Amino acid sequence: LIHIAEHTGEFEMEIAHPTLAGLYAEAVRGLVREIAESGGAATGTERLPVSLDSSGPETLLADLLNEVIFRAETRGFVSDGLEVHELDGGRLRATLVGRDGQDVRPLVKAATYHDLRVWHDGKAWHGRVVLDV
Amino acid sequence: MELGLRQIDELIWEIPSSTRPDMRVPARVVADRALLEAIADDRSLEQLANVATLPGIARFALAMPDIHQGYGFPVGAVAATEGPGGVVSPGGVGYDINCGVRLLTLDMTRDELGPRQAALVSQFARSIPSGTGRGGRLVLDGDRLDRVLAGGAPVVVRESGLGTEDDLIHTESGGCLAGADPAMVSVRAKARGRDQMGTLGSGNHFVELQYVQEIVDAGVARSIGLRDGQLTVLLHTGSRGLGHQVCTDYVRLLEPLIAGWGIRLPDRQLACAPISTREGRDYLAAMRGAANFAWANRQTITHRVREAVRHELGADHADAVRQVYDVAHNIAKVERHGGRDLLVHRKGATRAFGPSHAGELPGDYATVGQPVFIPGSMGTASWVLVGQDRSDEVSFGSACHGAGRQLSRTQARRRMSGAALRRQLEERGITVRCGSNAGLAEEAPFAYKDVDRVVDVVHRVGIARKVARLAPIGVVKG
Repeated sequence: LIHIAEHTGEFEMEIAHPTLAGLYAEAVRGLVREIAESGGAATGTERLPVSLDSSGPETLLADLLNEVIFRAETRGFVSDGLEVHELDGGRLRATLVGRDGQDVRPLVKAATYHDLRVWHDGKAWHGRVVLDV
Repeated sequence: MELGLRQIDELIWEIPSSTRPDMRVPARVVADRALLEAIADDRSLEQLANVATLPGIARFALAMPDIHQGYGFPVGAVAATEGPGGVVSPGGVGYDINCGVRLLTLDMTRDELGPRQAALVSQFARSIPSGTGRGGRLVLDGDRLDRVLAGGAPVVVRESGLGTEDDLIHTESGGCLAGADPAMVSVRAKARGRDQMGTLGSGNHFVELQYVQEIVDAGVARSIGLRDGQLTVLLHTGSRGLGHQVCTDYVRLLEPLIAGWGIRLPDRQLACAPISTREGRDYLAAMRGAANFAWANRQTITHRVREAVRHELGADHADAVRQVYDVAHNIAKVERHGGRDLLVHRKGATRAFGPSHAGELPGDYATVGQPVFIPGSMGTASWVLVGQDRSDEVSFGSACHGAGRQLSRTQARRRMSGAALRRQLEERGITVRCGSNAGLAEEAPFAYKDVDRVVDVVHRVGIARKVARLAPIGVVKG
């Protein structure tokens, strides 16, 4: 589930998935939907390793999205998948799969730490992040 | 959340510091009742109260009449910190470090331009890369990027001839903040900014061709070089991906450290560092570098505007393009107010120095005050004002930076399509050059508050005085 909520100045993205690893992958997909000029992820075979050591699962969500923004802006890399190899608290070892050189809308400039949340409601994992546009 | 707003002056409202145990100072809003009602249903005031919890904050956290909900700080906020425990907050500057506005004049009126209007706006669009985040025409290779980070707009003027000494004189801080250290700007930030010099970016950034529709103060207008009917060009952009990455880097760096400094915050995005710490000093050095990049960016775009005028109207008109002023509205600067040295954070707020700050103003503006530009939304008016000395007392020498959003981008897109808006603007005689209809709709005039009302509050409260109203005839958007 990906939902872009109303926010006066920015985008507020809410995501949900049965697994925590899936939640992060869903967040990447939600962001790519906003920044890919085509409105969707590019099917690609290029693989970019991602290694993040954040202060916790919540900041990891923002840090991962900032990683995607950086790759998109500097090389037009649009991801259509996140393969999670290791996930422990704020530590993530993963691979972004996608394609370089895509047209990117530079609409989202950063994922913020404002109202950043990752939680489990007994059924699924949920996340919320405000994106600076 | 009930915040107990009380009126302390006709146009100044206050949330007392006793409202929440973590507030160190009151939170104030400069607004009339209608503008207050516009933010009644969002979290602007809660965010402003959060700012009032920052260590070392002086007097009050302040919001301008264009305040709207943001993240961490609301947009349209001013906070000054001081003393050994005083902090600097990257979120209090924002992601687009030194986003700002620059006003240029042409030696020609709207009537004299006549049917060449569309061609001139089209040439602006061709000359100034706008919508893509992936590069412009000026790549800063080798150590040139570091020189720009350290030296700002003077570097592109003096090394590359992209402007004049007069441009620099008429730029806040001369287009360069001292104390920038390129080594404090990450490799990633440099990678994002290296090929973005001279580009507009997306969102609400624009180049607008306008004319002086109304002169309110003829004497001051004459002093700053504005006359009735005259063509003007307003630029709005900032430090692009480089500035965004600086903010991202330092919020991430500082957030896990604040507990170690004994700081508790109600919002992670307020992550900050005492100015006295190495991390605080490092951020300030990086932020100043990004601010210098932004001034060089607006200077480079100014050169492109002159090139476009040369192409369409000839060399004489290009050589006569004059810069009125350039002001930052996302920045933190050390300034003296009320006999105290303060670190003034402005997030979506403009410096508005009156004549008592003559030493920090261009000589030709010393007696009238610093020009302040308050753009409306696309297709509505923009205002030129001059700062007043009362701004020192009321707002740490600040005024507002725009009309302020009142609709989310999604709401704006739902109300009118970009194609319909484009037609509507063209029917009003406004030439529109924007690659994305969705982006156009998100910045529609109805997405913003009434700029005339916002400016009226600024004028009446006495922090800046109206000089002239500018009306758009051409818009280039990213």
